[in-house]
Parts: sequence; structure tokens; C-alpha cells
Amino acid sequence: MEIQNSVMNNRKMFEQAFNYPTNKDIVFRDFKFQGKEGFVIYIDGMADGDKISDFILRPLLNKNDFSDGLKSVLQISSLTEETDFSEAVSAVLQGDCALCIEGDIKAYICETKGFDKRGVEKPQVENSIVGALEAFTETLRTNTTLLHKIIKNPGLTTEMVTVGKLNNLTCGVVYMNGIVNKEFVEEVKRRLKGIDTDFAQSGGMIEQFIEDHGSSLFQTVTTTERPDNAAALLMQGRIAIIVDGSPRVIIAPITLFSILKTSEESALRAPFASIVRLIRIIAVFAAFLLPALYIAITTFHAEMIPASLLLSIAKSRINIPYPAIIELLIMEFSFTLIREAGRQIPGALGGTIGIVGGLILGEAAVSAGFVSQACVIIIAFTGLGNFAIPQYQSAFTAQLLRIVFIICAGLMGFLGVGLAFVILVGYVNSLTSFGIDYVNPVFSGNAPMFPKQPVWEYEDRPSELRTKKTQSQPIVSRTWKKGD
Amino acid sequence: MDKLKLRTYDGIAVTGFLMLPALFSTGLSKLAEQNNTAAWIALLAAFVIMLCLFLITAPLMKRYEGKNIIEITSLVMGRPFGVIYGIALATYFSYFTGVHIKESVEILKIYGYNLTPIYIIAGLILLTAVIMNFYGGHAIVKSAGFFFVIIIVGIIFIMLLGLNRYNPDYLAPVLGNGISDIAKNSLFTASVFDNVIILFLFAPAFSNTAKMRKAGVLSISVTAAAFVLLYLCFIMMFSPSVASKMMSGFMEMGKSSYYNHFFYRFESILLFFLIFSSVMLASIGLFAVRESSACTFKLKPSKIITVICAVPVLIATFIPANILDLTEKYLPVIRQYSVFFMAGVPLLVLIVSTVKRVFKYEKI
Repeated sequence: MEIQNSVMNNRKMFEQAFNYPTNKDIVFRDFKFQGKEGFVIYIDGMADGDKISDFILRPLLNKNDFSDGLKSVLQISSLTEETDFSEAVSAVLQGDCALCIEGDIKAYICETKGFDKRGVEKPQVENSIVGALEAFTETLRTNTTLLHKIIKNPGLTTEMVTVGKLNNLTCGVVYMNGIVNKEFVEEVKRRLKGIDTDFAQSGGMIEQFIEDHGSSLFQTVTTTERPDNAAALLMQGRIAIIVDGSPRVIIAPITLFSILKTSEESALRAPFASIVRLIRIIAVFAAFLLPALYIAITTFHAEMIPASLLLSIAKSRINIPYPAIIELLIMEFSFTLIREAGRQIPGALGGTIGIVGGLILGEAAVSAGFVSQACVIIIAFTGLGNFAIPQYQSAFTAQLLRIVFIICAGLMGFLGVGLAFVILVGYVNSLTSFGIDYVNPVFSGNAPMFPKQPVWEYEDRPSELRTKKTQSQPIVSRTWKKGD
Repeated sequence: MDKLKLRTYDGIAVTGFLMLPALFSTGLSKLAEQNNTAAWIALLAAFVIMLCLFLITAPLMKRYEGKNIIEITSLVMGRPFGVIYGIALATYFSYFTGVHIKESVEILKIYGYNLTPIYIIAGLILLTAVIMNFYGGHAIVKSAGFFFVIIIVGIIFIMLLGLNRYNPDYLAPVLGNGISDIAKNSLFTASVFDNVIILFLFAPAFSNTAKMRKAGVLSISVTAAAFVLLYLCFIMMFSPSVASKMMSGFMEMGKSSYYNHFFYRFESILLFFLIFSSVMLASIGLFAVRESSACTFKLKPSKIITVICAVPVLIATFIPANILDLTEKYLPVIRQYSVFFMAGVPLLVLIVSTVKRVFKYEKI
């Protein structure tokens, strides 16, 4: 539908679209200048009323000379002309105001967004000791600004895509022009535009809509709340999807090992970062396999344990009325319960719940003969390993697969664990993220997860991204060394 | 199903998994039994023979770039011969995979699962192979690449583990039972490396035949090196006469290594190498069966074809050992219990149709 030259018709169209006057959020401000009727429409609260009255209406009503057109009269930073009615409605919904004047077959869209928003705060989940302390917010523009602050390059490009037929959620597709492979940008836009739903609310929903394997146990896109992390990934040639209203930015395409890396590591010296990564790898291993190996060894392969340790484990289990697998599953459930309870209860009380649950309940369960000390140690170590996984959703993956491994170990010992592990490796190898392999093949030539290379050795961008510019720095990036 | 793409390393890993698993089961002890102290020389000779055979036949693939060996056979010898060769190849890989699963299961039973029935272990390995095939050839190849590193590390680990127990005197006499015996056995020992020919089946997956040839040469070399070195370590640890009586040389080497009170029972950990190698072999073997069957009968590889191809592998796994095995285990199934399957299913359908009151078939 097009904007018409009759201001009355345009007003009726807007009234109908916004269910006016029943809808009390909508403000129409009629005016007359140079003998022509006109009106401004905006949503109360979304648009800045002061800005509209001071910089749009006042110049319109006070100025007499309009020979240079409206653009030279309205004192507003962004003014666009829109002939499509639905685009004008969409702009009003975003917080802008639409100005219609009798005889003009277009609406003037003025940038007047003025809704309340949260300021830039510290990251809540991805904490850093040596890295930056800014996190994304719920406002799309603030988030793009945070990225522009880090990447001061004209190539940083944001394209807007609207998702959700009824709620018109704006998503910003951000990439580094000149580095990124445009095929991936087109694919991201194609998938976002291809979402046919009435209501898309959060980044989490968008993630599920656009993933290659939406119901997979492994996330094939990642999210970050840290602008420095997002900027680093953009410079690698990946794409950021900023969803309006979501404080986490989606990054695609990704690989499994990119989930296990954190932005802080690039700020650390290579030996320290390598130690951190090694600990994380061990933690992931513990989170997935430790309880299963405990079950397998104590139930099927007890000959592996030195006699003294075996006796100690047997002694601690002497009063436990059920097999080790049931004991572990009960503890696993309890641990999850404590964690969820701690997460749901706000503030410091959540932490208290964790301590109370962990210490008192654990001690009481051992004393009452419900579980053995060995089991509590294993579950505690596994829980810590789970927390060491950087991504919240990946921690769920570890938890679910841990239960599968525990069951396999309880049924068939090392054979069960081995077979389940092969299936897991096969499954992960079958996954893709926006068409690229989720796991790099062995000896792919990319930087290894461990040991972490020094920053001056990161010459190439990840090969799987097929970037336009493959090198991020020359082989000798410390040119000052040449003179030494 | 995805289109398979192979790099040189993938080719090495895939063929390696068809040849190396013999090391973890009875391969080493059988070599000791047949060739005594000279088995490593026979292995080297077999390596040279197989390398020559591979290099002689590889140019055939270059002449028909983009075609696999079954398609080339059809083109050169005619469609009927191509079909027969395709069926023979599928049958061979079914048999090969089934027999290896059986062998691995027997070793697993001896070294940790003596109370678990064979059919459960074999069934689980085959089920895993089927699931791996459901994930597609690309996933199998990439997984093979991952596990190949683990397997090589395992072989090096076990060789280093026995360092303090090696006795070089056991290598004498170097020529074993004599040169004529070595020459006679070398040709047969070449069969250890003959699975490199699977690369001819996957030739179109390589970007060019030079890469395929490189993968073939390297995989034979890596496998031969692993066989020769591990065999030398094996007989240096046990002497050929003792070694020939063992079931799994690899597991026994782990079992016999002792360092201190804490690290003293390794064989259970070594089970992982046996499990990984046997499952990967089963997966690649089943994939080869599927690919050769699909190519022969011009079918599109699918999950249902994978399941159908798993049936002959399963049958090969449970081939009766002798007439006693046949009469005690297999014939009772047919003569005593088959009634439950043959009559049971129709009876069940009849009961269900009665309960559901479906008595008439209406043509639409």
C-alpha cells in the first residue's frame, strides 16, 4: 500500500493500522502550515516527545520560508522519505515519527527514538579479569555502537532484517566488508528472511530458527555478551546477528572449538592462555566422562584401581543400598536441582542456596548412607568441570551426554563408554554450521586449540570461513624485530 | 546422504583402519606362528609386493578419472562382469567386516567381558557401525581421521611401555625358518595390506588420482611400519614361541608391562584401542559394502540400504565355527524356535486385526 496525497486518507490508514483511538499509545498531532493540513504520528514512550515538539513541530509552525524544502527546516539528525505505507508503520513502531502533509505522496520519517534503555554494564556471564568490562545491552543501536567503538573501520557493515510478521523484530546483520565471505552473509539474511512466524522474541528463538540443526544437542551458532569477543570474531570473518531486545549477540558460522575459546585468552600471554585452555579441556573431559569412567572402573574394571584405593571405595559404599549407577544419577539430579534453585533465586540468596545445598545436603546424604563420599567427590568435580565450559547451552549438552555416558558405562563398562564416544564423535562430525564443518578435520592447518599460539603467530584467518582476506597479519608481524 | 570428499590424510586413515585393527587382536600372534622370528622380514617383503601391486594398478584409475573401480570394470569388461565384481566386492567387505567383528568380540570377551554373550557385544558394535553410517560417509571419514591419531598414539604408547622388558636376543635367528619360507609366506602376508585397494572404490572422492595414489602409498607405509615395529617389540618381549600361543599380542604387552604399584594394570585402558579400532573398521567396512552395492545396482545410498547391507555383515559375524557349533547353537534356532517367528507374527497380526475389528480390505 502506498502513501496517498490526501492527508485525511493517510490519517485514516494510520488510524486503522494502529487501532486508533482505542489504542491509547498512539499520538496524532495535527497542524496546519502554509494553508496545508498535516499530522505527526508516533508512539508515546517509544519516541522522544520533546524532540518532536522542539525540533519538528516548532520549526514547522514558526518558520515561514519553505523554499528549500522540509529537509532544511526540520532540525533532526535523520530524515527519510517513505512512499510505502507499511514501511512508514514499521518506522513508527521502531520509535520514529511519521510526518504527512497534504499533497505529498510520501511520509517523512524522522529519527526520534526516545524509549528508556539500560545503560552499558559489566558482563554478567562472560567475566574477564584482564579484558574489557563492557557488555551488550538490549538496544540494537547501542550494541552496534559498542562494536563501532572497537572496530573503527568503514568496512564494518550493518544490514537490517525484520523478523516476525506481527511483532516486527529488528535484527542487525553485522559483518566486516572486505573480509567476510559474502556467501555466508547472504545465507544468514536468507535464513532470517525465511523465518515465517508471527512472533519472534529473543535471540534464543532466532538462534533456533536459523541453525542448521535446530534440535541438535550441540549449538551450531554461538552467542556472546562481550563486544570485544564479538569484534574479534567479526575480524576473523564471522557474522554477528544483533537481535533488538537481546543482550547476547549471535555469532555464525562457528566450529566446536571456537565455543571453547574465550576472548580473555587473547589478552593473556601464550603460556598462561595455554594453561587455561588445558584446564578447560580437562574440565570438559571431566564434565562429559568422569562419572561414566568412575562407574565403569568400579563396576567392570576394578582391577585397574590399586588395592588400597579399591578398599577405600568399597568401604565408603558398604552401607549404600543401591548400585553405583543409581547413586550417581541421584547425585546428578540433586546437583542439577541445587544449581537450578540457585539460578532462579535472585541475588546473594542464590549463592547461599548453592552453598547450603552443596555442603549441608551433601554431608547429610553421606552421613545418612544415601550416597558415598567417593560419589560426592566425583559429582562435585564433574560439576566444577561443567561450570568451566564457557557457553551456558554447551553446559546443558555436557550434562545430557554425561547421563547417556553414565547409563552406557553402567550397562557395559568401557565398551559402553567407548561405543557411545564413537557415536558422539560421528555425530559431532556430521554437524555443520551454515554449511561449514562443525569440527575441523584433523590436520586442517588451522591454529590448534592447545597449545595457544602467541598473538604474533596468528597469521591466517580460519580456513573454513573462506574469507576474502585470508591473512590477518604478515608472517613477521613484529616488524620492529627486523631492526634488532 | 552427503557427497564424499577425501583428503590424502583421510585416505590414509580410512585404509589404515581396515588394516591396523589386526594388530590389536590376533594379528601379531598369527605372524609369530607362521613366520617365527622372520615375520618382520616377511612383512617388509609383503609391503614391497603390495606397494608394487598398488602402483601398477593405480594408473588404471588415472585413465578413468572420476570413476570408481566398479564403474571402470563395467566400462572395460562389460556390465555383467561389473555387476559380478561389485557383488563380489560387497560380499568380501561383508565377510571381512563380519569376521573382524567376531574376532574383536572374542578378544573383548577374553580381556574383560567373559560373562557377556557374544551376540550382545557383536550386535552393539554393528549397531554403532550402522549409526555411524546414518551420519554419512563424511562423518565416518572425519571420525576415522580423529581416531587414527588415537590408535597411532596407542601403538607408540604400548611400544614404549615395554622398553624395560625387551630382549633383543629373541630376534635371532633373524631369518627364522629360512629364506624359502619367508619368500613363500610373503605373498600371502601381502593380504595384510591389500585393503588399500578400497581407495579404488572411493577414487572419485579424491580431487585427483595423484592424491589417491599418495594416500595409498602412505597408508601402506604407515601400516607396514606399525606392523613391523610392533611385531619386533612383541617378540622381543615374549620370544616367538611364547608369542605364537597368545590371543592378542597388543593386550598381552600391556598386561605384562609393570612400572610401579599405582600404574600396574593397563589392559583395561587398552580395551579402548580395541573398541575404537573395531568399531571404526566395522563402520568403514559397512560403508564400503553400502557403496559397492549402491554402485553395482545404481541405487542412491540411503539409510534403508545401510540397514540392508548390515544384514550380511551380521550373518558373517555369526558364521558357525564347526559342526558342533552349528548343531548346538544354529540349528536349534531353526528347528526349535523358528516357529515363534514364522507363525508368531501372522498370529499377532490376526489378533490385532480381531481386536481392531478390521476384517475387510477396502480398495481405494
